[in-house]
Amino acid sequence: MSTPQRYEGGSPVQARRGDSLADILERVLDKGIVIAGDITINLLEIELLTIKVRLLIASVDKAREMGINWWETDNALSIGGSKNGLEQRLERLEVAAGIDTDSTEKEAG
Amino acid sequence: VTNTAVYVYGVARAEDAALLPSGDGAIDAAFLLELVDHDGLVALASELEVELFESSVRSAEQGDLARLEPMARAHEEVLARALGARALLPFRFGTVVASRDDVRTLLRDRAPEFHSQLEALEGAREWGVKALLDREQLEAALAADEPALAELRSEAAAGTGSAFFARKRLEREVEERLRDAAGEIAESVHDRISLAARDAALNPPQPRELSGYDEEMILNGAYLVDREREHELHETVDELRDEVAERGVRLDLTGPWPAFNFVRAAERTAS
Repeated sequence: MSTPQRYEGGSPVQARRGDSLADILERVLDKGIVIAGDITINLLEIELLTIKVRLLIASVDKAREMGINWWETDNALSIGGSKNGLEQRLERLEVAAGIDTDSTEKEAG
Repeated sequence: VTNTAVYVYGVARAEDAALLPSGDGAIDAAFLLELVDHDGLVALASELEVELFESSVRSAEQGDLARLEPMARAHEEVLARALGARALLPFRFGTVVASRDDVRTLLRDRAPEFHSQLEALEGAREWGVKALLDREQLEAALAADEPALAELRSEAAAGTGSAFFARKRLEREVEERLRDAAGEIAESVHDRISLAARDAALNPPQPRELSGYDEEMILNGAYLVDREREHELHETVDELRDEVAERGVRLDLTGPWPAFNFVRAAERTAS
């Protein structure tokens, strides 16, 4: 069994895993093959989540301003400045999903 | 009665099936990993309880990562255990279909694309290299090389009438030179490592709050490296480590990873 590791020296094959949450989210939620269409279920919420993660990981300055509770304060992403394509897309999706950004409950399709 | 569906982690060739993981570690711990094959392809999959999955994603989408994180890690770890396969296509997190039959349909419908992507990845694995900057150390290294900065610094420290402006100018100069120097280091590290790689991808540096590093990330690269050249990658990174250390830069090499950064995400189509 071979798992991702963080390599700090020594034998090349004996690396240690890189396990920061940022690395995991960046890869599994922002990368990889996307299967879309009628065959998959639950796509919209995954889509929303993916876009939020992408915004957070890519928006270095914004994420810094947010501090440690980065995830909870993502409304700050849309405050001030011009919105980029991802943010606009996120808003459209949220409208499509019937999600009010302040609400905590949403009916699953 | 709970409603279950099938979660798909990724796809490999059927001939590599024996090299894929089985047993525990599935995204929903109540189920075991399984293989679903069709026409020379095999999907790494497991059952999951739909309601549990949906509520975890929903809570993450609304700001609470606690339940999502172990699932995101499970997705990656299952694929990492499949790295023995000669080629492996990692799916994005959250690929869920209703049944095993749907998995077979998926393999059938996208067989040409999966085969061509598997071919492109054959015999290579992804590695990550990050460059982390200690600003103070780089600043000290720059000041040693640059008499102009040292001069400004002594003026700023002089406490005379011009000290205030000298300090402002110094800050600007230092900031600019730091940025330039950090950019040059990041670029040369990336270029050198790319020489050992089949393909390379640059991702935005991760913010400190997410990365877990104290230093500032100036490079977040992913490299697709042939297995026979992995030693070359490691040697290059070791050489670079020595070269950049005196300028306050540390390199962090992670891997091997499933080739998340080197699969082509197909366009969304409503089939």
